[in-house]
Amino acid sequence: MPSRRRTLLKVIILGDSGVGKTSLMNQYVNKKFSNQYKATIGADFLTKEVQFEDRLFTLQIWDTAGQERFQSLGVAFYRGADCCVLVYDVNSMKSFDNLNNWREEFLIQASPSDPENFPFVVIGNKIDVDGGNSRVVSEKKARAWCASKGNIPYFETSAKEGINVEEAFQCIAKNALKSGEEEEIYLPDTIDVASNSQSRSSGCEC
Amino acid sequence: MGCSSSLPDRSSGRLVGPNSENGGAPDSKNLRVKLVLLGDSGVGKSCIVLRFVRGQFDPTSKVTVGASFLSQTIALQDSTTVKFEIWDTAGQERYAALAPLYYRGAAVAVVVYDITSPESFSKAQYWVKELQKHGSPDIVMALVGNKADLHEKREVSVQEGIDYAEKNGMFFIETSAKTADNINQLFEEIAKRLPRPTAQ
Amino acid sequence: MLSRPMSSGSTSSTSADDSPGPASPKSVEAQLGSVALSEPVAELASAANQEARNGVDFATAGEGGDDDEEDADRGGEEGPVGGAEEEVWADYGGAGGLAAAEEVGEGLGGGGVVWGRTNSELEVDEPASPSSSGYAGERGSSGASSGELEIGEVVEDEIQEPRSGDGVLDSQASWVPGKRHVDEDDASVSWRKRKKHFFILSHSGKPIYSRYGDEHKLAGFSATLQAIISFVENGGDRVKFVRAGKHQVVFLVKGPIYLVCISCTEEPYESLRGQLELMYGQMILILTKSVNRCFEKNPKFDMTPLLGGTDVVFSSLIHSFSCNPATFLHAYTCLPLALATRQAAVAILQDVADSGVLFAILMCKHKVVSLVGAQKASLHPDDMLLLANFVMSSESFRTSESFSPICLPRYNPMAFLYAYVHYFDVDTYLMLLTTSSDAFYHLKDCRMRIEMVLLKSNVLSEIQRSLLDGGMHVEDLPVDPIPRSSSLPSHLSQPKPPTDSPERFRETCDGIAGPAGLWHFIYRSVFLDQYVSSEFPAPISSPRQQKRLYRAYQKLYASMHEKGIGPHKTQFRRDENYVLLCWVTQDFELYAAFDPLADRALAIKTCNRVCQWVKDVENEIFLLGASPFSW
Repeated sequence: MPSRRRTLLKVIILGDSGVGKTSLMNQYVNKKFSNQYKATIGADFLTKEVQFEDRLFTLQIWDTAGQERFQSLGVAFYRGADCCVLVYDVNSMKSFDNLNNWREEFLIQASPSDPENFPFVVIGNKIDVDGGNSRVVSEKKARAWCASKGNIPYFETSAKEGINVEEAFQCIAKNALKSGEEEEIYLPDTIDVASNSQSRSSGCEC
Repeated sequence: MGCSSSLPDRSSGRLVGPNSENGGAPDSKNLRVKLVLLGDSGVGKSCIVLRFVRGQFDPTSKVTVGASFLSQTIALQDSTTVKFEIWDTAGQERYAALAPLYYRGAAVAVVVYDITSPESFSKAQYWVKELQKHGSPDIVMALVGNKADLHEKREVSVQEGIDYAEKNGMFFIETSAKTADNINQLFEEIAKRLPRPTAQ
Repeated sequence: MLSRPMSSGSTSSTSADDSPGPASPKSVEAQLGSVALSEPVAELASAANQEARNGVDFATAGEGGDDDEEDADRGGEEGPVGGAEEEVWADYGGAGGLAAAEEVGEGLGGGGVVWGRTNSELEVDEPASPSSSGYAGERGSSGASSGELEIGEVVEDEIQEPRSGDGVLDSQASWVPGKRHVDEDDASVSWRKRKKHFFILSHSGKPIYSRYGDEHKLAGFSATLQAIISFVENGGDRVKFVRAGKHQVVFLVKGPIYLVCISCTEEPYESLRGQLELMYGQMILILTKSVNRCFEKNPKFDMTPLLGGTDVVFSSLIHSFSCNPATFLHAYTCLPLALATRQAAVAILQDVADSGVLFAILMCKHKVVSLVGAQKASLHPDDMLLLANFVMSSESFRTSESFSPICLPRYNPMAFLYAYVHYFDVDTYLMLLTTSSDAFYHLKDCRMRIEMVLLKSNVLSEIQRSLLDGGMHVEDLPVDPIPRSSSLPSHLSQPKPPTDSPERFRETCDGIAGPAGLWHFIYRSVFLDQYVSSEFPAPISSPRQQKRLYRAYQKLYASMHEKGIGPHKTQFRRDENYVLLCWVTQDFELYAAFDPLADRALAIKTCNRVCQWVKDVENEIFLLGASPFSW
């Protein structure tokens, strides 16, 4: 069979602690997972295979440890991300205000080639809490922020009730895939006959 | 039909001297052509060649590395012989950048896809474009839909193949290296389409 | 005379001569003999305790379940080990003020197995490894009694090993190449039980290669590995290895490529790291270092498609880690051939090399028949290993002649060369390397010329004969230590020593091994970058027994080449599996395995004779003179 090229997409989930990143994961991946590494190395990792437009690809999801106080995870962590998901709690204004910090942090650390068009997705989680009565961030406000940052797709979810989670991740996958389209071309060198004077590195110089 | 590995050299009585070997003077009766096979990995390029050259079919897939070189001579009805020097290239992505090494100077390019794989069909189109840009200007191109025996799994219609080939001035055929269907015909048709040296 | 004068003895031996080739073995007795007669006192107790883990590693290198090829089902199995006697002494040569040799007898069933060397570990977590004592306890409980192990164990191994060995290295034949267990992932119990994992991933955590399981299904695991590496990196440090119970996780960072080995085979860190280096080299051989540029431009770059179809190359390399000593000796081995035969092969290759071929290599399986390099070009043994592995594991080379881009990582990791490859028969193949992309037809002509000469001078049939006869058999070790004057007509097939030879000290050895209980040896010539390994006799006939012995050699090699503690000269170890003797000089290294009950003094004597034997037949077992290494 011809090589069916599979794509792997690295997706980073950022947001304050307590906004429900891990619950979103649990809901989406349909597999209970515990915080194994978050405390030690700053993230947990999940794999999910997704079918999209006749293509099979794999989401490699980095569920980071959200800090109360915004804290850098370092360049190495964000390197080569295909999509970044910013999560806040609609019942917490602070978690919404911090979205800007998380976004900035990501752009600085990951330094994507085209920051203007880097695919972000924003998720307002916990819409189920109190039947929506404790909500402090309005959908309008959130959408306005997303629009101001280059029309970031916006989803409101309830990880607990499973509302909109699948849809949000479909969008994440679609956007990540779009940004991964342009591939780097592998152009190997060949030895120039004339300048061929290398010799073995270890010893033997006679 | 006219496919044999060692062929009585009918011309030897008439043409002594510079024969096909070492690229001697062009000879309208004994042609020697460089042919390159291109296409996605796994479409059956090596199987086509091995069926044509050795009459064998080995269902266990052996990934080609770089490119293999084989040759085969066929006799045509008009008593000409054509010796194909075949470069069976690896379909792997890493060799894409080095493909010119193999198609450079080729008189014939056979671009192969797998009729059960639309992906391999688009890869074939990539190779056609590449050859149009960088191949010899008078290159003879054939578009081959292989694995025709797997018709119940077909995903690329015959018409799609015909249409694309026509648009690009290519010769089109569907083959099965497994059943040997159309393999010899492929090479005979190519041989017929080769430009003959005019001066004799 | 106690042990100290030994160091002077050893230095005198190393300065013997500087000519290439095996050196005179006259002094091994000077080094070891005196020690053998002395009664050293156990005085390195503390150092020994710190190193207890190494001793345990060593003793269990031969545990029953150490087959990391196909091992998931045997995960819990422990080998028949017990409180076997292990004596160790080592000569530190001129190193520091250490006692020159120690012999430490071990108490009953205790875990304190001894490795007589200084504590040279750099890692802080090493001496405190919690598995050290626990593991020893496990062993004790499952153990058989000492001294009687060799027979029972051999039998058991042969029962476990359905492919019964016939004395030759036959593991290659029964081993199935290619990726296995693709349906597994890190959640699978079977995957977790595998004894040795290899991973290649990108610096963004995207999987590139995994020995077991599907790379994409392991994406989360691969991300974890990257996160561990970058977590340490963020702290301005670099992680070399992590030990967790029986498992060792070894990391190797090569620019944007990360390589990781997770192993509970108890191989030394240096060996595992060396294996990762070879994995990386193999990748460079296939792609060159230009892949780095792809990562520089685009950190998201997914390299997996570029390695499409090469699973078999990597799995075959990993397999060779346990059956090809070249992977840790950094030397190559030659097919034994009569001098005239080899010279004929060298001459025709030299002829071709003068016409613009960079390297011309004629090989039979993984053994070199002949090798010629263009002026100023030299080929590193590791490059040869990787090249031969690539060619032998890629089936398509056998189908027809090929012309392929390949990169020699030690020669020039940045650029491709072109390899013309042609098989003369199922085992024998020719590789002509060139820098010129349009040299194919020239190389094809060269090959036809070479083929003609090889056929005319019967080289190809001689190769087949040598393959059948095998190399040096320990039972052919000449009794007479006097150098032979002429080369042997039928290569290496020496008349058997008389069975009533006084050198034979144990009845049980008769017919199954060499004199003095010699089972096997490897001789590595430092100047030639070549080694010769004897054929395996009956006591080490199964692939698993052979793997165990190679692991033991590998461990010895690692300990003899450890940095930071002066060069070892000799080492003598006795455990329940073997007596191992190692002797390193500037000119050569000898690794020999004896029956576990072998007499020490006789073993030492035998090693001298092995060295002499190698010297006697060096024309036939080594490629002398014309090799690119020798000028």
